[in-house]
Amino acid sequence: MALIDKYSKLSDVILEDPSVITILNRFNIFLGVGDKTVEQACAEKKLDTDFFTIILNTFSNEEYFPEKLFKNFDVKIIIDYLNCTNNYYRQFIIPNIESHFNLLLQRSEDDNTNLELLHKFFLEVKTELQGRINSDSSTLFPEIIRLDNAASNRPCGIDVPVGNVETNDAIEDKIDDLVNMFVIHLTGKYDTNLCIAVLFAIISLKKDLCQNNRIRNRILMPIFNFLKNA
Amino acid sequence: MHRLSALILTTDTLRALGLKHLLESLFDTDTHIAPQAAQSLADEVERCDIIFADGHSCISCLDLLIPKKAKTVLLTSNSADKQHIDSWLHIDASTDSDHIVEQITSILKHIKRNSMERMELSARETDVLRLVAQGMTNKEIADNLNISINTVLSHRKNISAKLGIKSVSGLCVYAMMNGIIN
Repeated sequence: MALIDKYSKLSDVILEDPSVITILNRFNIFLGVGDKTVEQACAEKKLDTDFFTIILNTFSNEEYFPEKLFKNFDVKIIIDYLNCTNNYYRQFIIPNIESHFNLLLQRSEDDNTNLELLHKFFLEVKTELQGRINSDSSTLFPEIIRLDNAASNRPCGIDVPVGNVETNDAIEDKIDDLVNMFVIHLTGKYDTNLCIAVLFAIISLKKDLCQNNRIRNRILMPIFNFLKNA
Repeated sequence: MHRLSALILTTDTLRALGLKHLLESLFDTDTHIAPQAAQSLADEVERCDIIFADGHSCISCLDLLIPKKAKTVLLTSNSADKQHIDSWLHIDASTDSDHIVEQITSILKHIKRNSMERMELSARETDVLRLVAQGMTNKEIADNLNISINTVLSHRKNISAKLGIKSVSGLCVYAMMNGIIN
């Protein structure tokens, strides 16, 4: 997808990649965008246009991840965004998967134990993800903000190391596994529509988590490590 | 699931970029262009499914490429080169793009067929999967099956590639779904 800039129309951005709707929601922008450009929408919602644009671009383009530009932003704006992302997982996407999965189990044949096993696996992933979200909001994010306030003279971006960061993520791996188990290994009779709904919701979580983990693991965590050792 | 990974070794940057574009956009491969001096080249050669190398690169990386002859394709712009080589991709200034795509399709068909044949778990891999799913460590699995830890790791890597499942919990669920454990 072509890179978005401040002159791009939000409607074109959404039509090109509808999954960005969930990102727009995190910035309090909802459907019915009219013919507003990115710049106009940001002015209306008092958003940082550069940050908003970079978030949209990194979400829509797997290949695009400008680490140095990211590290120039105030750490609080990054944390605000990741908090909104965590809330989106907690309030919308996990309950959405869960409700569809419960219906899928109810409407499938009693002897389809495969779905029950996949459901248990999903609950394990959910518990891990919720644990991480709780730890983010109770410990990690407040600690980073505290360190950032203490080192208020941090020269934005220039001293924070780029690259060589551990980016393997156990939760991402498990969601990948869950998707593959549905796609490759599922057997037995089940409600096709509900199964597709569950799978689409899990794939949507997978994409979101994968794109946003890049910000968490390659931007926020190096800043955290830098501040800890400063 | 397993996506074919390709490695391009050539000093001709334009040809490398063009080939990378075709391999990624039309054949959904994960393609890297490797600088020949890269220290990680041996790892990349080991890891990838197919290598496209020009004559100069073949000579300069001979030690690395000879053991990987079966998955190496010679990038050539000279038809005389083809006479001594099993697998080649001929691209010169006049080759049209349809012909290049046709050649790559034929090369990848062979590689994909081989990789599909490997998707079924072997008896030994099933043994390893059963023990992984029972919660054993690599050391315990090695002792139990009288094999080395490296062999266990190699089996685990193959199991994950074949099933598309990386986590122990995922492997455990797969083993239950398929009656490998209760």
